[in-house]
Amino acid sequence: MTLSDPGTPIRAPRPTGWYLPWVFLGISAVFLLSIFGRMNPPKEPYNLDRFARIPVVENGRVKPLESAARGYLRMISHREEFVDEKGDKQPAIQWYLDVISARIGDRDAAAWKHKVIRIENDQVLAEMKLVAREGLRYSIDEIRPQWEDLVQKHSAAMEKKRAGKQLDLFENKILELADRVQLILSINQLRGLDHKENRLLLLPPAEDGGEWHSLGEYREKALGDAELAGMRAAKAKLDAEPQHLDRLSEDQQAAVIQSLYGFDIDRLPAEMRPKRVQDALAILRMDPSMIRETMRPKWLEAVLALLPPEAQVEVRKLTKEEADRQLQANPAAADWDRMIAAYRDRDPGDFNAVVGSYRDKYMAHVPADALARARVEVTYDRFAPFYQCTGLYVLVFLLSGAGFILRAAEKPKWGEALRKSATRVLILTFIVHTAALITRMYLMDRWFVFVTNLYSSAIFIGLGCVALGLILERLYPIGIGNVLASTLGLATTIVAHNIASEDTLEMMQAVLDTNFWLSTHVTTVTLGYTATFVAGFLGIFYIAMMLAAVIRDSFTYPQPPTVGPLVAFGVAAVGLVTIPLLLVWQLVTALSRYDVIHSSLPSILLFVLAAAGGIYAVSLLVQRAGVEGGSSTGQVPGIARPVAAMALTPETGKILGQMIYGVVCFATLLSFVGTVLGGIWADQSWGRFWGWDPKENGAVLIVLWNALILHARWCGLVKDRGVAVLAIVGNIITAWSWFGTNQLGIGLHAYGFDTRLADGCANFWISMLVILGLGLIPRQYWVSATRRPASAGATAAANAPPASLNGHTAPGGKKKARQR
Amino acid sequence: MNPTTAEMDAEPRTERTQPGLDYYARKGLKALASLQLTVVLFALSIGLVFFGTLAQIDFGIWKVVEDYFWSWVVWVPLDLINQFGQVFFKEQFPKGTTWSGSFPFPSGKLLGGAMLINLLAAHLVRFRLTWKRSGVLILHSGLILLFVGEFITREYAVEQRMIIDEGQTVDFAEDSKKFELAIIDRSDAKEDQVTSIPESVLRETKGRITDPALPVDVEVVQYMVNSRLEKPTADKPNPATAGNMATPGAGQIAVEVPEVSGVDPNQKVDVPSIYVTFFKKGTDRPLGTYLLSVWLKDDSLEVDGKKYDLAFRFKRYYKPYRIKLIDFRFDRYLGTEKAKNYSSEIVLIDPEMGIERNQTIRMNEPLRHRGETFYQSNFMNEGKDVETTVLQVVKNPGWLIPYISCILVSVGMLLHFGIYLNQFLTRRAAI
Repeated sequence: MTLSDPGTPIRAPRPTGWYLPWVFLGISAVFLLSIFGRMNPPKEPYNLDRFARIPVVENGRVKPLESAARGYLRMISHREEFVDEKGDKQPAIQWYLDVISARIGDRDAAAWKHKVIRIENDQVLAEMKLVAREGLRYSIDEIRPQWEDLVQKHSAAMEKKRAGKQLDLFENKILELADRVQLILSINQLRGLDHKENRLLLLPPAEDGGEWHSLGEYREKALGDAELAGMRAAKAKLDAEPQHLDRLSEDQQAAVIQSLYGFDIDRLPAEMRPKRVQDALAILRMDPSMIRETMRPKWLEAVLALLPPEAQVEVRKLTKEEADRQLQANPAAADWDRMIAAYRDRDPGDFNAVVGSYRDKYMAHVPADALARARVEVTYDRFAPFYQCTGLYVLVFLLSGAGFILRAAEKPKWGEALRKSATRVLILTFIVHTAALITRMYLMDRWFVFVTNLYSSAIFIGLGCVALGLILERLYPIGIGNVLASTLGLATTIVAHNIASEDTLEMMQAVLDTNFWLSTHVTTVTLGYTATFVAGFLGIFYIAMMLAAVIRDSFTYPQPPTVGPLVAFGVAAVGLVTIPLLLVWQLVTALSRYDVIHSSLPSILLFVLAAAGGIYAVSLLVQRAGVEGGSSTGQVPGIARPVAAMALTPETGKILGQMIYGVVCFATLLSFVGTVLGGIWADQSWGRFWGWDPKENGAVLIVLWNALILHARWCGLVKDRGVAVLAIVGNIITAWSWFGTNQLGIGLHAYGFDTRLADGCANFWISMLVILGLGLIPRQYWVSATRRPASAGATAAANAPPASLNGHTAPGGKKKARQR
Repeated sequence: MNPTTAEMDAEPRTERTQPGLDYYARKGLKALASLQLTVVLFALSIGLVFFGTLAQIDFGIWKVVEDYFWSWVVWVPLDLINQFGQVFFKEQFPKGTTWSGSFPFPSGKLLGGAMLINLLAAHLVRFRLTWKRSGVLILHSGLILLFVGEFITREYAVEQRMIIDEGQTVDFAEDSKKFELAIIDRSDAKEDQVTSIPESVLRETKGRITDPALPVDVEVVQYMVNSRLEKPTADKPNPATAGNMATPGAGQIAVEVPEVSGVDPNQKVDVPSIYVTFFKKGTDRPLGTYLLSVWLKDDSLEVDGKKYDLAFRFKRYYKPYRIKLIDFRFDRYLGTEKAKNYSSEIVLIDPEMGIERNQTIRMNEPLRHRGETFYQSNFMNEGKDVETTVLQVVKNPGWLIPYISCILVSVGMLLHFGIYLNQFLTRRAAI
C-alpha cells in the first residue's frame, strides 16, 4: 500500500507488533550469552579458574574440583556461592581454597569468617546463641563460642540414634549442623565427605590404570610417620640414660603428667600421685609404635620436656625434615602443599605457576575421556542451564499471560504478537533444556538415558511437558500450549532444584546400572507421567475457562437471577481467583529454597496477588448484585470483560476437549508400555515380572486411571468437562506415584525420602481437589459454552454432542446421551 | 430417561410381544459387556492397588500379595487410611493413634476375573472385524495374555536359590520361602541318605509324625515362623533337653518374633525356628527335645548307636546338573564402596545334555538353562579368600508371555490411536 516507492511490488503490511517476537528472542539470547561472559571465576590475582578445573575424584567419578566444591558448599549452605565479608558474591571454589589453606589455630583465617553454615531451626539458633538473620547463614567463628555445647548435644543425639530411638526435629537439626561443621573441618584436612560411598581423592594415579588417593589420608600418614620417627629419636635419647626416668624431680614429674594427661598433678590427692606418676612413666618406657595415635603428640611432648634443649631442637628438626621428605615423596602432594602455602603467603605468582602446570604434570595417567568430561562439566556447572531455563520459563509465562490480557482487552493483534514472542522464547528455552539434558548424558556417559534419579526425572518430565506444549501450540495456536509449557517447565525445574542432591550426576546402584533398560523403561514411564500431568493441567485450564463461562453467562442471562445461578456465580468468581492463587502458592512454597530473591518476597507477592484477586472477585460479586433487580441488558460489564474474553466457547471447549483426549491417549500408551517394560526389566534382573512394589503399583495406577478416562468417555459417562475433571484426578495419582509412594519408605524403588516432599504432595493434592470441586458446577450455568450452532459433526465418537438443547432448564450434566 | 428407552435407541427390538430366552441371554451378555461396568471395575482396581500399596507399610510383600491381589475379597483395615494421613497430613492425623475396624473390598481374583469376563463379553457382543477396530482387538488380546501370564507365573513359577562358594560345585537349589527338617545319615562315605519332613507337615500335623523312612518319630513342640535367638533367663528357661542348644551356659533359646513387614528397607526374610521332640521309633521313649533353627548349625542325634545329622533348613531341590563357581566379582565406583556390578563366573555342567561350558552371570544378564533362569542375586564373604555367590533360580513356564503381550498391546494401541490421529489430522487439513 505504500505508494512512496512504486518500483517495488506491493507488499502486504506487516502485522502490528511483528517485530516483538524477534525482540524478545534477541533479549533472551543476549541474556544467555551474557551468562557465558560472566560465569567464570577470576584469573587475577589468583588463577581460580585454572584451580577450579583441576580434575579430582569425588562421588565415584572424575570431576573438576569446582564441582566437588559446589556440592560441598550446597550441603553446608544450600547454595553454590557465598557472600564474603565485603558483601561481594564469591564462587564456591574461593571458599574451598580459603578452607583448605586455613590453619585450625589461626583465628584470622578468612575461612572461619565466611558465613556459610545454614541453620534454619529456631531452637538450634537459640542453642547456639545466634540471632536469625537474612539467609540464616553463620560462620565457624560465630559458632565457636558454643562449641562444647554443640559437641555435647551432638553426642547425646548420636547416642539416642544408636539406641534405635526416634530423634525429634531439634536433635535431627543438631546432627545436621554438626555434619555441616564436620564437613568444613574435613575439607580443611584435605578430605571430603569421606564415607563408604564417597571419598574425595585429590592425588591422581601415578601410572596407567593406577589408583587415585586421598590427599588428606596421605598427609595424615606422612605426618604420622614423621612423628613416629621423631618419637623413636627422642626415645633413643631418653634410653641413652636408662636411670633418668627414675630420678625425675617433682617439677619434671608434674610436667610429664601435664603433657600426657593435660591436668595439674597437684589437684590429685597426695596418696594417688605416686601411682599416677608410675603409670605415666610406664607409658614413656613403652615402644613408640605401641602408643595410640591420638596420644602420640602428647607422648612426644612429655619425652621432649625431659630432654636437654639441644636434644629437643635436634628431634624437632628431624621430625620436620622427615615430614617434609615424606610429603615431597609424592610430587602431586608436594604441589598441593606448595599451592596452599603460596595462597597462605599471598604469593599469586607461585600459586599460579603450580596451578598452571598441574594438569600437564599429573594427568598423563587419567583416561582422556574422563578429563574431557571434567572439562565439559565445568562449563555445565557454571552455566547452570536449568537455572537459566527457570528464568526463561518465567519470561514465557509472563509473555503468554500478557498476550491473553491484551486479547481480553480487545487488542488481538498485540496479543497475537506476544503469543508468538512467547512461542519463540519457549523454543529457545526448549533448545537450552534439551542441550543441557544431552550434556548430562555425556557427563554420565549414558547415551539415551534421560532419567537416572528423582532430580533428572523432574528435569525430563519438564522437557516432555514443554515439548507437548509446543506441539499443542502448533496444532492450536491459541496460546494455551505456551502457558502450559511455561507453567510446567517452571514448576518442574523448581521441583528439580528443590530435590537436587549434593551431586545430581550421582552414580547408579548396581541393579540400575544398565543403559538399555534405563533408556527404555524409565524414559517411557516418565513420559507417561509427563503426558498425564499435561492432560491434568489442560483439565485445569478447561475448568478455569468454564468458570469464566459461568460468569459470562450469568451477566448475559436475560432474566433476573434466582438463587442457584447466583451461588454458581459466587463460586465461579471465587474459584477463578483461587485457581491461579493455588498454583502460585505451590510455586512460592517450592521457591523458598531459591536464594535469589529476598526470602519474604514470594510471600509478599502471594499476599498481593491474593489481595488483588480477592478485590477483583468481590467487585465482580458487587457488580453482579448491582445488576440484580434491574433486568440485565445481556451486556457484560467492563470489569468482567477480561473474564468473558477468556471464557469457554463451544469452539475452545471443543479444542480443549480434543487436546485433553489426545494427550490422555498418549499417556495411556506410554504409561502402559513403560510399566510393562519395567516388568520385563524386573524379569531380566531377578526373575519376577511383577512384584507389587509400591512404585510399580503407582505406575499401574496411572495406567488404570488413564484407561478409566478413555473408557468412561467412550461409553458416554463423561464428556469434555468430565474428561477435564478426571484428568485433574490424574494429576493427583501421578503425584502419588512419582513422589508419594517414596514417602512410605517401602520397597526397592524407595529412593529419596524427604518430609518436605510429603508436605508438597499434600498441598498439591488439596489444590487439585479444590479445583476438581470447582469443576463440578452444573452444566446449566455455563450452557453457552456447550451449545453449538448446528452439529459440526467432527470426530464422531471422540466428541460429545451438545449436552442438551433445553437451555437453563435442562438437568445437570450427568445425563447419558448415547452416541451412535 | 430410563434404561429401556436407551436400549431401544441402540438396539431396536423385533419381538415386542414375547421376549424369548435368547433375548434375556443377550441382554445379560450386554450388561456384562457394558463399558460402564468396565469403568466401575477400573475404579475398584485403582482402590485395590492403592490399599494394597498402603498395606505394605504393615506387612511383608508376600502377605499383601496373598491377601489383596490373589484372593477374592479382602478386609481392608481402616487404619491404613489413618497411616496414610500420618505420612501426608501430619497435623490432622496425630501420631500414635490407630483406627480400629475394617471394610470389605473386592480383591485381585474377583476384579481380575470380572474384568476378563467383561472384556470377553464385550468382544462377543461387539465383535466386528474391521480395520478400525483391529487395534482394539489386538491390544485387548494382549491384555488377556497378560492376565494368563500372571496366572501361570502365580501357579507354576518356582523361585529357588543356589549358594555357591568359589571353587565349590553345587547340584541343588534351595527354596527361599519353604523349610524342611532333614535327618541325614552320613554313614555311607559316597552318598548321604537324606530324609526330610517338609514345612507344611511340620506345621500342620498334630501330635506324632511317623513314617517308615524316618529312623525316629517326631513331634513338633513349637513352630516359630520368625524367630530370634537369645540367652535363656530365669523367666525364660531353656526348653531344649538335648543337642547343642541344651548345653548349659552355651545354649540359646528361640523367641518368636512377628513376621517380617514391608516397612523393612532391607527386605529381610523370616527366620523360623522349631522345637521338636524325637521319640524312639514306635515307642513313647523320648530321645530329647531339640532346638533346630535356620540360625543354627546342624545338630546331631544318636539312635541305636547310629549317628544322624539334624538340620532345619531351606527346602532343597536336587538338580540333574551342577554349577561350579570359579570367581565372584564385585566392581565398585572409583574410590568408593558403592557397587557398580556383581558377577559370577561359573561352569555349567550337565552330563545328560553333554554340556560343560563357562558362563558369566551378571546383574541384568541372567543365564537360562533347562527352563530355569539364574540371576545374580546376592553374595557373601566379600573380600575374603573364598567368596560366596547367591544365585536366584527361577523356573517360570510363562516368562515369555509378558514380552509377547507387551508387544501386542503396544502395537494395538499405536494402531488404534494412530488410526484416529490420522483421521483427525486429515479432517483438520480438510478444514
